Amino acid sequence: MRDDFHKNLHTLRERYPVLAHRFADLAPKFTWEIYPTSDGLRTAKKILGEGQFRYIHSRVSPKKEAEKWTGLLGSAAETVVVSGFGLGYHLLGLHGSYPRSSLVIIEVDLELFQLALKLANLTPILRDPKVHLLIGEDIPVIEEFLKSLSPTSITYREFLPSTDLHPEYYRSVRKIAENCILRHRLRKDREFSRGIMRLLDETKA
Amino acid sequence: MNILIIRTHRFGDILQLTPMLRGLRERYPESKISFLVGRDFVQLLEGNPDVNEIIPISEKEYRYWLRNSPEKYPRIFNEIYDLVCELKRKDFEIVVNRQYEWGAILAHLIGAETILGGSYSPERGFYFEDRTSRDLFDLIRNNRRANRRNLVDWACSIAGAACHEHRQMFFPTSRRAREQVKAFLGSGAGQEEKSLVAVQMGAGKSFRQWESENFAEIVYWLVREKGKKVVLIGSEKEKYLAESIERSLVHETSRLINLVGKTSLQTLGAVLEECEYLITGDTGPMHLAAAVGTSVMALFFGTAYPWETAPYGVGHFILYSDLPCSPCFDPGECKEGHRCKKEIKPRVVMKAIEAAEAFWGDEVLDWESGSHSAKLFVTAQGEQGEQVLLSARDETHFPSGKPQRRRYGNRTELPQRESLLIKGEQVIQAFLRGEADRGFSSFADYFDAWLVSKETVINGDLEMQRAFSHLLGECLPAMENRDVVTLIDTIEYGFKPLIERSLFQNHDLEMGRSYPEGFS
Repeated sequence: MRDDFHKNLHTLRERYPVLAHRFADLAPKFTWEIYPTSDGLRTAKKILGEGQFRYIHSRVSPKKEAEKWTGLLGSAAETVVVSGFGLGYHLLGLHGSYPRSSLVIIEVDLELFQLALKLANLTPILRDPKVHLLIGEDIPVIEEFLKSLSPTSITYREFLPSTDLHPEYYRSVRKIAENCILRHRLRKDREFSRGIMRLLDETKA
Repeated sequence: MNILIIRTHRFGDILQLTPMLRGLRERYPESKISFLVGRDFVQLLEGNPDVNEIIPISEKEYRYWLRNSPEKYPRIFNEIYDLVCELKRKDFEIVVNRQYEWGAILAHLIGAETILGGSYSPERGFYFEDRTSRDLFDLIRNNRRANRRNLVDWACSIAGAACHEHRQMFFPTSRRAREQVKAFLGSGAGQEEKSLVAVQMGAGKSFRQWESENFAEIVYWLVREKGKKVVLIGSEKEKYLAESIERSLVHETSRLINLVGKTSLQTLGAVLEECEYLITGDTGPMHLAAAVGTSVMALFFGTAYPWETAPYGVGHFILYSDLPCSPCFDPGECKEGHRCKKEIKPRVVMKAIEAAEAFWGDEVLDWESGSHSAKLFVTAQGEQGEQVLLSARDETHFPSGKPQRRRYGNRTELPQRESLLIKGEQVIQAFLRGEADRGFSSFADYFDAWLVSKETVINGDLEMQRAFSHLLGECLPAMENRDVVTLIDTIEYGFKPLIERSLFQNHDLEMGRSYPEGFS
């Protein structure tokens, strides 16, 4: 666990020095409990208080869960925007399955991200220049970054166990992502998009 | 070959396409048939052996949001964009569009080789590639009264389905629905003597709505004079009508069952199966009754035209208000004071019901409405195998051997265990896609299905019973906590192995799977 954390932090420092600096000093809040799973990975349980809790990854096989989550993506887009870091297993899965895609990963929970750095070897995604992390950022920063993207194709996915912990924040992120994707599609695929708009006009009628 | 059918709403219209599906299956036995349908109507096609894949679309929500929540436009655009891209990847050779301009635009975007039933291009707009669809459109637009073919038969022609005597609509009710209905109706609720009559009071459009006081009069007559037990069916918006009838029949409550707003499509179908007949306007439940083999007495007026949309099958009755202006095109501009509706008086309907009951009881059909324009028709099968309407006034037109009521007993049903596996996978997929609300709602349905199927799956096995109880202890708090991961795990590693073990036990095979440690 310590080994992973140091490797991850070292890689993080190279690409995201400010972010790495935040985690070096971040004091743990102990709202997460860690558990082993059947496939050798670890999962964690978020304590919500009053006897309530939620797990962040499968208690049996986070690996299989990641495969299933990735499998639902269908065909690869040039850029995939993902809300919810979790402990990173699904992101490693996505990164491995679609090595040519760029990933934009959004996570508001600094404590969860720190936990992920401690529990899994995330260096493949931390060092990849096609992966962009937006961790603990305010909504205007997210918006500005997403608006600056100009890929040939873009899609948005959520990792529900993470996003459901901060619903208001991710609701805003979702709206921004949807708007960005819409604008992008109107720009890049005008005729097809016009057809979709025509379809929406008929839907409304 | 990949075939796509597009019809997203109005459940009667969807049911009317089921004979066409059978025709397509017979014509292209190796094909994969997919059906794009509104999410609310997926139940209509589940268990249909002629459909390989049901593709749901949240069409009702999209329409509502587009009209009322413009800020949702980007989300709807992207979801439909993704859906169209997914449909394009499936490479459909044939698209049968039964959704007018909307379906035509979609079919154009998908890029199928052949589009039947209405096409679109940016240059030409909406047009018809196939002759049959063009003929139907021209006939309805220019000379609707000349049409003597039911839309079921038209759809079969459009799809190139051969005609034969077994053409019928199809809707399999599930065992679960039938068990629930038995509980609603109470044991021995007239099933043996079949004295249960269903009444559908509402209609989708106000101009197809017979007056509620007229329906009330019919219900009172059925209960007080005919000794029938009546079950009221309909949607939430008709609740007030049903409650007002309940209040009037306060001394006869044992003979009135109010199920308005209380049924799903499945349980509605199961209710109709238990009924002697249904009294209704031209509505979705009318087609559902016909699809489950229950006779219908249908009231047609205004825009409703019996040759087009009469319940499909043999021995259904239609009381039709046939004025010179019928069927009307624009009920909002009626200059006759909606006389067509007024011609259908309660006493005329009562006479029609008595005539129909005599016919169904193999007695002589004796009909005289006393009204020049209220005409009674019976559905029959013509020589070509398609539906015809015979006038009840002229019995000499009946073919030799009166049309007999046919009960459509060929229901197929997905076995309980397989159905649970599919439902479980749907829950998992909803959560993995990030659709929290849909995931929790479908988990609740999955859980209900388990409670109904539990005895079949567990079959007295004590170890499985203990495992099941443990799983209950896991998933109930997980639902309360919104713990998505635990819910997925209970399905994948808890409930699913129980089902698979049950399947193996059924086949007398050794079960090598043990209960995963993560759940002990």
